[in-house]
Amino acid sequence: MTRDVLHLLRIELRVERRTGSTLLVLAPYAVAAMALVAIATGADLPLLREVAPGLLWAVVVVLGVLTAMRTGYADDPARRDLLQLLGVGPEAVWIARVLGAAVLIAALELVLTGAAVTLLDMRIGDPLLHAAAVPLTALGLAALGVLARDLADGSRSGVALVPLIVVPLAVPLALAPVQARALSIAGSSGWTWIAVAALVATVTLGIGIAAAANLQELTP
Amino acid sequence: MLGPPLRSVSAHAAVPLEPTPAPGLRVDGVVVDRSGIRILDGISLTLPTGSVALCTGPNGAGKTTLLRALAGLVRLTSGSIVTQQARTELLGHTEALHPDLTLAENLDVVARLVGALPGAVAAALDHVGLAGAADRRAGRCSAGMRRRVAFARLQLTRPDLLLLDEPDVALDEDARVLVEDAITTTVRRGGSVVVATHAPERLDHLPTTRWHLRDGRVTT
Repeated sequence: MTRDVLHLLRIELRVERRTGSTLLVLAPYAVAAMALVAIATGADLPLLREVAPGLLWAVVVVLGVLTAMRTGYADDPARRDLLQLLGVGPEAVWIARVLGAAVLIAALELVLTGAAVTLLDMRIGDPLLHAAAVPLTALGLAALGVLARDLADGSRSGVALVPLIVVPLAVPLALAPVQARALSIAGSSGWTWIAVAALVATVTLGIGIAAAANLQELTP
Repeated sequence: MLGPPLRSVSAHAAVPLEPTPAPGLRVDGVVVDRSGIRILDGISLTLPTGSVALCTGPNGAGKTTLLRALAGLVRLTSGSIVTQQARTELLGHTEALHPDLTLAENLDVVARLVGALPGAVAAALDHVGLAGAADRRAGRCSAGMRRRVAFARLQLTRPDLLLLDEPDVALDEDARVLVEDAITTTVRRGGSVVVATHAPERLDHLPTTRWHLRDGRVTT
């Protein structure tokens, strides 16, 4: 299964490197949103420093879920059928889809972190905490977005269902790095919040893997 | 000595294959319901190894769903499908190509998964007359070229149960020989072929079995 997952992941990244259809499209909008906030506050640096972490992770949640809901190689029903006939299990396909999206979201987070530091004068706090938060939130948002997309595809209510699935689990994923950073700057340990992000990511990923075969059947 | 591989798709439990005569494919009382609509209604068919069935019927008769059920891509509501064939390929309405990958890269995805020999992709493209277009992105190719690539894929997967859904759509007169070539090659290997078509007269010169579907039932 690992070989199949890595094979599919390589394909996803090759397509993104060639087209830039996710990062090159979404990242400029995200950076522009941050710049607009800075302009709207009249470049009030103390205020920008206060709101920067919340703004950063709110933008990451919105664009992260959009990234996870894009159509990658294994998101197309015909290609998924082909993979199934070639013996690639639905679990491997699901994990590859999530990892493909997670890599892109993590890259987006790094770009936005740079923008927040540059434009909003944000202090990162403990760099280890931030380094842990980036992959965990990326993985959690990717799993959440892919899960939401599959459920929406198989539901009569379609994409209207997505916010109901995404919001409750996205809140702790956005809150965790913000709270962890605030605690670390105040001199306390923020690792408990990082554990919350890890828990949400693991649970969402676990649900997706366990339900992968059924989710694949839901897709029209 | 072990017998040939046996794949069984059943709504309940695997059904043992009778020793003689040994059909390559046996469909028993298959019912498929989707979203409360009965699409296949008690289909029972057999197809001997090394033979071809032409599946005809009006739009909405259930031809595509029958092919997908034979491929194991549809959960059966009841009934069973037993096949001796180990590798199944379904060439459906779309070619399962990624538009941002080149023709060679699209085939390489499959070649790696089936463990094809180096050079197999180039040979497969050459077989369908697309050696010169190997580096062209699939999204920039005509519908006929993409269809040819789907036939090139058969050179890599070498299926022994070949399911063709309207195989000559988008193919010009010269390229239609690919359909017949795929059928005869599979049969010569001892495999079975099912073709869903609105133009059965194009394959009249081949020895075939006819299945006519109407409203999810076999009528002839």
